[in-house]
Amino acid sequence: MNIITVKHGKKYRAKHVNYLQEQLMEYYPTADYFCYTEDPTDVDCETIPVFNKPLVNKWWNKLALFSIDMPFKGPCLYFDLDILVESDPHWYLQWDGLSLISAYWKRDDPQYYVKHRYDTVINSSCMTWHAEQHNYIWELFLSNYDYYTRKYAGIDRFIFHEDIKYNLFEDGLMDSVSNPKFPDAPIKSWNNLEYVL
Amino acid sequence: MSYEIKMYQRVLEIVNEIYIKSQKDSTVDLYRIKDLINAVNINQSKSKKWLITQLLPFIPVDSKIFIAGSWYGTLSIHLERQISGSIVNCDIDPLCKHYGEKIYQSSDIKNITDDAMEHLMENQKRYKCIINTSCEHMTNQDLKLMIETKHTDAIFCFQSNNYFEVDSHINCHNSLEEFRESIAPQSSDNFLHKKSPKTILYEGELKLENCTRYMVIGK
Repeated sequence: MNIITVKHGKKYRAKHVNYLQEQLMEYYPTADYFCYTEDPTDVDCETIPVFNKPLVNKWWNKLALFSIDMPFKGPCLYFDLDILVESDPHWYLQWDGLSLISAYWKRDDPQYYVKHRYDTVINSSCMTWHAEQHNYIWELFLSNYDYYTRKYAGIDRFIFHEDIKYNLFEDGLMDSVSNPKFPDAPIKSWNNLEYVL
Repeated sequence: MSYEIKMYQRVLEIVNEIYIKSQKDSTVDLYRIKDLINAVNINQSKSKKWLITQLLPFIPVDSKIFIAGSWYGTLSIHLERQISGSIVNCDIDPLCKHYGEKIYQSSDIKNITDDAMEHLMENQKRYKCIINTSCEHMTNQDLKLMIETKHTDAIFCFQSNNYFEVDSHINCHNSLEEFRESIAPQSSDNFLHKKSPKTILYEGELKLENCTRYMVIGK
């Protein structure tokens, strides 16, 4: 299995990548760990340099993980760098297509479904997929990437609105620190909050 | 009615068309409305008029002008009536040509859908003036290549800004000097690489509501 992170820009540093890997090693000691980044300094795991073209900012780099040019084979497991692993997430994970988190803190509020808001009720803090099977997502983004980065405030909205097939993990995999609901969740996310190490 | 009023009126008609279509078709992209409005907002208008004022004295007579990342082609509408040559608008978004031609049509303006860099690599020598007001959306590598491979006599006019907060802005700069050095270095490092520096004909800043826009015109 491949366990992957993305570090781009100055918000997160190598220590965020290394600490996440350290936590996950307890449960996945034989996995291959990768970090897709423009700055590999001090990153312990294998790094993949960001594509030169198109050059995109921050979270938009997560979409490149679906590219057929990535070195991954087999199942892939992605985590954002503001994730804290508290126990083994294994029981919640599935590799049936692309799977993401249901944003329980948004999904019951009708405002997020207002069409022209182009918001979302899914969250890509944790994703699973099989390598080489979702290249179409990257190709779709490439077809008009500048427009998409203007239209959508992040990849969750892009995936939600651009007719991309996805599944959702069962509730309980992740607890959002700003909207706590699942205290026993194996992973905690600092979505939109500062995650200081 | 002035050409500018006509342009705004046409954009409003297109916005209306998109809205009416969306009443029958839920797949209609309503963000396109916002994008069209952004393309003709006050900052865009100021930036383009500033460009024309500064660039006009340097544009060769009857020259073919290339506009990289032209969006909906509004710059060409302002520019066309002040020059004697023709203009090619180029944008990678296929709907820019579609809406650009709905906003304005002229035998002197051609809209194409292509990666500006790739188009220039194949057609570089055809253009005597290369305009790029979307430098913040393109890599430095591409911008430098556009300048280095242009026709020797061709003028370039590039704009960027310091609006780092926008997601689609991948190449902003902190100052005019930083921008100029990134595309047409004047420093001694350039001589070490045995490249003669490009002649800078104009460089300046325009303060806008959210950012400062930088412009460099050179040869």
